[in-house]
Amino acid sequence: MLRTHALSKNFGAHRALDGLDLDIAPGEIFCMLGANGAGKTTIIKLLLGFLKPTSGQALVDGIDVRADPAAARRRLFYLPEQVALYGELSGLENLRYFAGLAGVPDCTPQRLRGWLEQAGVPPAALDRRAGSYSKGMRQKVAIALAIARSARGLLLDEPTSGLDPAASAEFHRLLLEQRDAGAAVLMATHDLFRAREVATTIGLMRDGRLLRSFKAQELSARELEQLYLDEMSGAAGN
Amino acid sequence: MNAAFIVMRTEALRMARGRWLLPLWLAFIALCAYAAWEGATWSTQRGAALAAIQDEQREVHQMRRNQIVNELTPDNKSRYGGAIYATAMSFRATLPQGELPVLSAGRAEGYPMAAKIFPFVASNTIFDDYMAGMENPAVMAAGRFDLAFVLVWLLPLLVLAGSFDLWSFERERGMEPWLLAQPVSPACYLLAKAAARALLLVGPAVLVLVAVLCFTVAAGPAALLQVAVLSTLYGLFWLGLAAFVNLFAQSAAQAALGCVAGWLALVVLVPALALGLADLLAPPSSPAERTNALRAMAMQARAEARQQADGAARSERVPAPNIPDNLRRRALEVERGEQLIRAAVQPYRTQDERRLYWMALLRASSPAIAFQDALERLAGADAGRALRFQDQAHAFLLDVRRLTQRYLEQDRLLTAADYDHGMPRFVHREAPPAERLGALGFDAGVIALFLLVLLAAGARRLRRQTFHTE
Amino acid sequence: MAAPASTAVLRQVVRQQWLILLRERRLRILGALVLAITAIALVTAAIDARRAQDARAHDARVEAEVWEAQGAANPHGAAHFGRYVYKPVQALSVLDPGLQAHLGGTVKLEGHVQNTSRFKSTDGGAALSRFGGFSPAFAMQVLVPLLIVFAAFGAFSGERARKLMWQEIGAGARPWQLIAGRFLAFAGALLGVLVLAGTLSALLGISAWSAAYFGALGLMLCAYGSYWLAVLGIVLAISAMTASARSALLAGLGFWLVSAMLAPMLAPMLAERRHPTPTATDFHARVVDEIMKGPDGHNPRDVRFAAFQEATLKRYKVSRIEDLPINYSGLLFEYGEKITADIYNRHFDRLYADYEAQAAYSLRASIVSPLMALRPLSSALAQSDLPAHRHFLVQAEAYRYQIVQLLNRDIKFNRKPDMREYAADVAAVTRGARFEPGALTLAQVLSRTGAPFAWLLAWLVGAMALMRCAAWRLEGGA
Repeated sequence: MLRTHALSKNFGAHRALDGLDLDIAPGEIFCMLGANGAGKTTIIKLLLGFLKPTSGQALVDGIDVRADPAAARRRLFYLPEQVALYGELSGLENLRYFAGLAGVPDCTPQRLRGWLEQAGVPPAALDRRAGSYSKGMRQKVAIALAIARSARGLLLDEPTSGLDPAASAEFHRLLLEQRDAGAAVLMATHDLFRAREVATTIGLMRDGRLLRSFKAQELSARELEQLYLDEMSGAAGN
Repeated sequence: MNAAFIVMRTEALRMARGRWLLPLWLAFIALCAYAAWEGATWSTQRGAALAAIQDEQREVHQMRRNQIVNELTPDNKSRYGGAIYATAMSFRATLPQGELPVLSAGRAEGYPMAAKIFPFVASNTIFDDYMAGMENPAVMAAGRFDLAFVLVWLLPLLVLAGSFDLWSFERERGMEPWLLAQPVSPACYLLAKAAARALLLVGPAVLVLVAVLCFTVAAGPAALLQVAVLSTLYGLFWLGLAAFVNLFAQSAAQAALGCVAGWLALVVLVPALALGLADLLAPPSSPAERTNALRAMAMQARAEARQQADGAARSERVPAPNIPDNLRRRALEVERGEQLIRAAVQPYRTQDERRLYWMALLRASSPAIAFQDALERLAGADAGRALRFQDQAHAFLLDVRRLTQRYLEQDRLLTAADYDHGMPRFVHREAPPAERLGALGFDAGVIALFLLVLLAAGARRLRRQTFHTE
Repeated sequence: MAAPASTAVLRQVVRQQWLILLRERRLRILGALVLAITAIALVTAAIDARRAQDARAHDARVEAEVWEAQGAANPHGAAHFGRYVYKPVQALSVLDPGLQAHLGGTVKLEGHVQNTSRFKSTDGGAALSRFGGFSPAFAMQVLVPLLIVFAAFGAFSGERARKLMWQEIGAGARPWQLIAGRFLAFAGALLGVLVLAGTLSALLGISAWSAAYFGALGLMLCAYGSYWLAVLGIVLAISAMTASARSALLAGLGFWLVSAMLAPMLAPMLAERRHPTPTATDFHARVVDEIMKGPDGHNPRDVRFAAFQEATLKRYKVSRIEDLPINYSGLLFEYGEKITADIYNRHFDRLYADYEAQAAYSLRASIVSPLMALRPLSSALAQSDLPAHRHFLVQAEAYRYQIVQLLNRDIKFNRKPDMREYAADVAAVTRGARFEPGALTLAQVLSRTGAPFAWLLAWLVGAMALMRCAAWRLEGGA
């Protein structure tokens, strides 16, 4: 579903992504771990068509993103680190707007409410202006959109950053539901422990390169942490 | 449902819920209403002044007619030369107000609104009595707070205040990537949002303007339509500018700065530069220099007349004609004087025409200038109309002189019947509709061209660079 | 560790802010723009003023030649032919042309009539004329405050600026020190611009240097400095009181719009409504009415002239006009000219008193806009305002009266009864009268500057108080 072939991106002299090969199948969650500036967000932007690759190819459901970014986006759902909603509109109205943009048919109030409740937004908050929502609530509205869209590919950029543990757990529950529904998920994150819990595959990135990828269950949490620290310091290869 | 419609609908909903829209509308309504009231007051005063000038002519004619009927006898004829000699005919030519005078005082106060026409008065002095005003120069310097000011200067600020954050709002809040991740093109977002702003900002502003005009002046539907179309075009231009600025601005504050800078450039700086350029390329003629040249010409004419008078043997005709021969001699002096005046004034006329040509051309340098020009034309207060009046007043003076010459040749005195039915009347003829529409079309074209340039530049920006920037 | 002294903190903040001002590209560009615009405006204004002065000197020479070329002419006809005088260009009007474009620099002096000045540069023109030219005063009164808003609105507002501010407060600085420090830094930059503008003005006006010139220039620069500092204080206070950069910018722009654009336009119009002045047609109609009917409307001209004739015959102890030792029509012209001049003077005095009342009313608008105090102050010191113009007109009228009466007296004494036509060398008759108009003295100008200066100082004090309030609010939040 989400594939890259030798995907590279330069910003001037700086190589932000170096020859990435990736293949995320439907029903798979790929967690990309790495420090700030490793290139995780760059991959997401390339898959969305926000950036043009210097070389290589990004494919979404077989569609070359560079050739037809709009078609690729129709199949994707993107969750940014900071979900912003229109404060003057309620959660319901925001979902109606974004679902409408995504071309979701039959956005009746009942269906919209259903999706929001499914995403965990309390009924009392549905008609309240989104300007008063917490970060977690805003993210739930975004998840509701993912549910509404039934997107084939999910691109998540630091989705649990700033969330309290309960909200974080709630989010991962929803994520697993999406995986079970057949979505291919690429998640960029710092959260090693959550990554190990939800991911099918984990990738470690540093300086634009995917150093290694492995099945999440191959390592214990502690081993994962040690490997991460070693890779990030460059000691793992020695 | 079409994505553009969804964006437009949501944008309109957000605007309606924003606390700024209603105060903005109310402020504009208040400004328009006040400006229209000021315009109506000015127009009423002007109308009264024009009526007083016409009354002056009527009173003079009435007085002279009464003198002929009630006081004139064969023995006291010479005392009533003003009434019976065609050489003393007195007329007033006035420039009537346009169809929408409340719209703009325009150039009306920079040109004479009337002329005093006597057969023997020098053609360069017929407007002198109506050139100097008594208005406080501080008021003139501040500028008339008319509808044209509200539209040209303040309507852009209204539109910019309501649309400066067209996209920078989303960018500042980090919504941009999420929005662009939906299968909707950036151009679609921008155009749909701009359409919503046009509907809720430009639309009501134009409606308010038309309503205010309908309330203050009895204008025809064609004139109102022309005002509405031009104002809409102008408002859309500023909306386009806001959208263009938003292609670059990273935050709402940056966008606001860019929009205000654009307003400053197009409404203040570019016109000032254009005026400076006009001064450089075609400086105005010096009226003081022209006056001195004409006075020197008058000295020359007087000297010639004296020479001729000294040289010619002057024998008194018997019987004496009805109209004394000295008036015939005066007529010849006036004709000679007119030739000298025309020769003296021609270089200054040419210089002034050149200046007006450049000023008319330079109105294409900014949509604000073009719009101001259009409003002045619609108000009937443009320079072209004022100059046409001056030409027609001159032509009327020459007609009056020709009539006087006929009376002199026929030795015919004026009668009461002449005052009742036979006096020439000045009637101002407007420019042909095609000419007027052509000028308005040019102004609209300038605004539309600027808008198209913005759209083209914006499209180029969107094409060249992925919107969510690298 | 002992807390640093308050002045040391202030100095630190000022120094820091200066570095930001120098290094921030946006502010450098804005500063360069202000200087460039003001300098260009000053140089072009100086060139225009020089041209105007040369043109007026040339026109005066040519006018004198035309007057001389009359040779032998009927003195009364010459009085109607009239003369023209030209208003000298004041040196500081380069900096502030004031109302000059709307006043006209030429006056026609003729018998029986007192004219207003003519040939305004706003006569004629086209739509482009509505936008006006670009004077240094416009740059300094309207553009510089806008650029102050652009430069200073984000000093404390916006996420980044707020975070930095709280960090500074957390490090030990007090909000008042931060505000005052930024104020002093910006003020230094503004005063630098002012000094440069003043220096350039002085260099361009080198031919007019005198104690009075420098006195007036110095006062003008003080006025502009106070104005800019008041605007700066208000913008900084707004910035300190508003967390959102957008709100601070919009509030600053709103203040600028009201104070620099709307108030200066509305106030004179409201003043005109409060103290209306007659139209030109009404004015002349009233004057003519009084001439024909007398001041009370019941003393017609022919009755007055009949009384004058009787008094004259009595005075010269003759019974017929033909027996008078002087020419009666000359005497009548002389008498009539005095009456007419008195009537005109009275009406013009009333008109200008109404203008003064309008100006005083407009000055009250200083409560919403400091520019309403600066504008009359600046044009008064530049002698480009209405009172300076009136001063010139009064001198022109005195000269007119003198030459017309010289011509009338020539008829009175030299036209003999047997002369069918009479001509005299009118240039020789009037040669004794000279027109050498002088400008108002600085003392005369200063009498009109007290109230506007007081308003400006009030605005400055008010801005300081607003900054203090903003600091208190931040102290409460800290």
